[in-house]
Amino acid sequence: MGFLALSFLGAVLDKKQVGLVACSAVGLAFLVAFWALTDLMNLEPAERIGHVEVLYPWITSGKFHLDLSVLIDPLSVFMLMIITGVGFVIHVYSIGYMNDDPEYSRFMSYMNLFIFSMSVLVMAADFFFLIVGWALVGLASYLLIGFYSEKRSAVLAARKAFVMNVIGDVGMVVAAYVIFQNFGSLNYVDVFAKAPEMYLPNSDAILLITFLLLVGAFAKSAQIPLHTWLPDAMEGPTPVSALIHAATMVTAGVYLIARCSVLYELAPYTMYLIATVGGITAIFAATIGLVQNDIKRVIAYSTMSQLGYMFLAVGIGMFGLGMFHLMTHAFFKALLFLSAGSVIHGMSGEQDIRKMGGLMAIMPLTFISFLIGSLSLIGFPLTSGYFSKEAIIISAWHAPMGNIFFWGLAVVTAGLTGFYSFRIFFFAFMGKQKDPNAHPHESPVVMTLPLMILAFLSLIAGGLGHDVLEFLSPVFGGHVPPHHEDGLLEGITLTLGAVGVIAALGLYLTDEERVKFVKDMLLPVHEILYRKYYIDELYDFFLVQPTKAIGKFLEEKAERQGIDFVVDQVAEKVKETSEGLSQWQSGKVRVYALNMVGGAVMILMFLVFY
Amino acid sequence: MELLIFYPIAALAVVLALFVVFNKSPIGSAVSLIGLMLCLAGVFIGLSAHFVAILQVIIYAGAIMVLFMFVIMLLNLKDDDNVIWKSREGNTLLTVLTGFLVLGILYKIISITLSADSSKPAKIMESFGTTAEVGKSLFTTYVLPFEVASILLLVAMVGALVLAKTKID
Amino acid sequence: MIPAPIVDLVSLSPVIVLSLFAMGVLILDLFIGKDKTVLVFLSLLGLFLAAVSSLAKGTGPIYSFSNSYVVDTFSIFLTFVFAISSALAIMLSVSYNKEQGIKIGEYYSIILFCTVGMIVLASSADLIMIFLGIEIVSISLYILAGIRRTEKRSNEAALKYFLLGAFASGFLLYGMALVYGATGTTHLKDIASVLASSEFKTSPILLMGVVLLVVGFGFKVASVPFHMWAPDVYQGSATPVTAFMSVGPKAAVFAAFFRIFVEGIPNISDYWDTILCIVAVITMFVGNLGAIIQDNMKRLLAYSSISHAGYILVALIAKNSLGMSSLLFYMLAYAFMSFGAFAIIIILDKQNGDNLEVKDYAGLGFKHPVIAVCMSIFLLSLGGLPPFAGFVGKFYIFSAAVKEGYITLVVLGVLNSAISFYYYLRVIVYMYMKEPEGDYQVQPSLAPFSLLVIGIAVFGTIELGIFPGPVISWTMN
Repeated sequence: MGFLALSFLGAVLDKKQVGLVACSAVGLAFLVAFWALTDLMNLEPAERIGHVEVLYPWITSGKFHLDLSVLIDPLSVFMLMIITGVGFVIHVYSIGYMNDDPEYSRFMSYMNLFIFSMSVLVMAADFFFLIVGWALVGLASYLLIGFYSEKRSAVLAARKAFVMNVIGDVGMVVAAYVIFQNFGSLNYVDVFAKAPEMYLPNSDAILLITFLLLVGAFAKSAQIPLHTWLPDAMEGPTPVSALIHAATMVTAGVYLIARCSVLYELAPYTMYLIATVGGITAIFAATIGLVQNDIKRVIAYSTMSQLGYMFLAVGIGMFGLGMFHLMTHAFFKALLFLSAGSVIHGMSGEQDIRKMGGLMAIMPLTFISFLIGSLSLIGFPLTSGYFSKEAIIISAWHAPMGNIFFWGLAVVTAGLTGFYSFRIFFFAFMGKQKDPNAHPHESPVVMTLPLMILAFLSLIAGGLGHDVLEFLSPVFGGHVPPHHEDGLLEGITLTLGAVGVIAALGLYLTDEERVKFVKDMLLPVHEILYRKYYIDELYDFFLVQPTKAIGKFLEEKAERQGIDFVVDQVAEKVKETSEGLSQWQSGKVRVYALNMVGGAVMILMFLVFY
Repeated sequence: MELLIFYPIAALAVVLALFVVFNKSPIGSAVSLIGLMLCLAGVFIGLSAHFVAILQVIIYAGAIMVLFMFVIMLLNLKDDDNVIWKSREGNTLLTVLTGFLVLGILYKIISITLSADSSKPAKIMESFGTTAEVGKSLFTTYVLPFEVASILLLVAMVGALVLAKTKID
Repeated sequence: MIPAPIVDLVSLSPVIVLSLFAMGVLILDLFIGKDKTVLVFLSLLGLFLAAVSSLAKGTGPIYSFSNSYVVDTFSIFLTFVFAISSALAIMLSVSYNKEQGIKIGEYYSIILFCTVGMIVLASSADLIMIFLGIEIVSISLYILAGIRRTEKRSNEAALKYFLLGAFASGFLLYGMALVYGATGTTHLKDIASVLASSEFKTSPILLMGVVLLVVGFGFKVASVPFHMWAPDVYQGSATPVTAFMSVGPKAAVFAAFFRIFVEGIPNISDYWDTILCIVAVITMFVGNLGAIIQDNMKRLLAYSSISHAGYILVALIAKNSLGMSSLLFYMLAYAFMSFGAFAIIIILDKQNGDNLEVKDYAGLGFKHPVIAVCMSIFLLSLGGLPPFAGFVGKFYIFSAAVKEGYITLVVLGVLNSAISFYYYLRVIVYMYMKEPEGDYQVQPSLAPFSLLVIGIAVFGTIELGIFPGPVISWTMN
């Protein structure tokens, strides 16, 4: 097992510059993951956890001990399946999407690097390699978002993502340090085994650790207040958006919390924080999503909102549900992104939904997949989203840690989701073409095939819900989350969702003037939403501007005359020293010999007078 | 009693050493060196190291110095009158400083040595330093260094040939 | 009646095997024509057999020749390091010698003799043996430094090295004599047991001897302030010789350094460890600061080699078992990285033998990506970046020192590592981010043996960085 896992890592690393190789590497990785899965299935549930395959003891030094090892347990294999599976599909898709790009091979190698980093992240058996994977993922996403390096906005977005991620990394590193201080180990198995004995719930140390880890999780998973990078990250190529911002990277935070569920269960306060932030992010992002016009941005906000759901789920202790929603979300959100990508591809790069229309007839396959994705997203009965989302919403009420507040947030969000997802759907696919200059066309088969696979998965994955929960349960203490049956609550949710859809339909069908009227009436709200609650502006006003002001002050006073001066001086002195050393090196043997004697005398003197 | 012999010989050795350094004619330096070697041989005898003393005379005063003489004559070295024994640029300070340091250290060492009780020398065997005894230890205790030295000499020989050979194919 | 000496030829087998091969090469050279390839293979075979035969005695410390020769893990491991580094040097020399017109067959023989000296050094437990070993190594190196007889710089390097080296040998021998005078024995084990009784500890003769030993060894490992010869000699010598002398002989001298100070006179470490700390710190600083403005690659690596001597001194100062194993590990790691870097310098050499300046590396990353990547790996490893061998080596050295409480020393060491990145990265920046100036085109001469060396070095650097486990556990014995 260990060997094969390694060979697959090697395979992923293999950056042969051909799409085929890239795809087959990921495909191979997927097969290995699948193989690991069947291996695990053959074990008794109780035996499935804690299989640490030590590939190699890397560094041992006194108390500090670092192995190159992978953790094979249901959670990591489950994540690996999603990452490699969805990753594979997206790789195939990118062959078509990026076909015309001159830097095709660079793109593919970045994508491979990303999958590799993500695999390191989920398979790590200790916090050290978790952080390595974490940072690598950040790096890969930076490279991918900024892929169109000639686009200024892309570069800025990449930088923003990177900065936010680094904030998270710092949190993680500090957390790892605190963990090592407290537990004397970075290994998951040791830490999780010791934690319940060592600490009472809500003791300071555990709160600190969980909170620091949370900083990392929030940054990676775009939760308030570290969320602003995600919409901007849509500047990257669409497959990247699908891969990073839907299926894999953003879910790393959820994974982290699920992985550390032992720690988080000891810290109910942090759990409440997670659930609250998750719920608020969900509704917050959904409202912004209502008014955006860029197709990818809408989906990006919807991703944030769905991530909020996942955080809500893990925050109320329903780790299994969170992971289940993570899976279904990976399917249907990747599907949505790829369909959107197909639309954009077909429209030759147009992303504004107001300029689209009538694509139903021209791009039937894309249309169907987008429809399935949207239905799944809003939780239409019997699609996959229905099972996972419904379960979360009901748990938000019924679970021990749930309450009406969480439920309210979740259910309102469900309604909003219905509205914004069908808003773009109607705009893009119904009606007639609005831009006479556009010549939309259906995408090639390498692009539509992945769409169909994902569409299929989005439809049926819901049925796997119980199996998934059971499969993952050993990791989360062995109990399958109880399934709450509550027809009333379910009804409310569905109704709200339907209302949302109808509202969108209404908005679409009513003629322009009335829309305008409504818009005018709601103008302030619209404005606020369109400006994303002025969060960027708030950041700008409260953080960036003062920082800039202080920075300016510092630059003039401290930097120019202080730090710059000092730094320059240091550099200067170092150079001078270096030159001095070279001159000392005169090339004359007698000087060298004298020097030796001088050294000897100096040492003697030291000894004699010491 | 021993000291009566040691001090004159040691003093002579120091004087000859100074001659080696300050003599302007190379031949003079070389001759002084021979004298120095002979004095050292005397010191060795005082230490009951007869065999080493004999070797000192044969090898250094004899063979090596003859070689020196040959070299001096072959190269036809003149008195080095034109060498300016003045301070070389920039080194004065360093040299003076080092000199003072050396003096300080010497002073310190002498005071330490004098304050320490003169260590009792270890007892030596009757036959110490005789040819037989040296030969015995060379072929028993120190047989390995003895053999390894042969490799050292071989390397030196090969090296000398390699670097000095006039023609290389 | 003189008792017959107890001779343990099995312990001595690597030395004997290698000496025989060296002489064989010397003799065979007379009978073959101008093509010296046979000698290369014969030498490689000899090195291989020597390394294998070093295992003949098992791993436990076995003393022979009345306690003057010892076979233990330390010596066996180092024998392997020497065999590897000499083999790499020989392979590097093949095409270089052809291009530079070095047609001397004795060249290979001298490298083998030098290796014999190194093995002797690593295995000796006696001051006389150590001195003989050092002299064999040094004399071989003087000759090798001057092997390009027509080249002025090479002559200069050989002469400088010889004069200063002889001077240093004087210090060393005098130091040994004083230590012998103070303790009455030349065996390291006996010295240690004599010093265990307290009355000798402060004997001025002994301390004087120790100082002179520090000076002598300090010169041989090129630590500051006895390092002055290194940049000139390294630059002047033929590049394979430079690579050779920066690894094997240095490792051997460090081994003897370690044996004398840690096995022989650890009881008076109060007196010498502060001195060595200061020497180590100055060495690191001078090496790294000196490297910053160097433009010549060989000179740059020469200074970097000085700074590495400083790091290795830290392992010696730690004087615990971890220090020993980290020293061994670092030697092996350093052998790979250093040979790799020098091998690349060699294949990028201009035809007339001038060495490339750092700015000549501009644009290498685009024209010869594989070479540039290899070079980057070696340089980053030299700087100590994970996951390469250099990082693990430094990590172990520093953790050995931390274990003994030398925190300041380690902080300064890490600071120096950071400084060193400046000039290693400078080369990498040139390779990847600068456009070449002028019309000079780098033309790598891709001789198969040189490529093999680079391949081995890359493999070693990465392998030791990612899977250091087996080597570490071997050195821990």
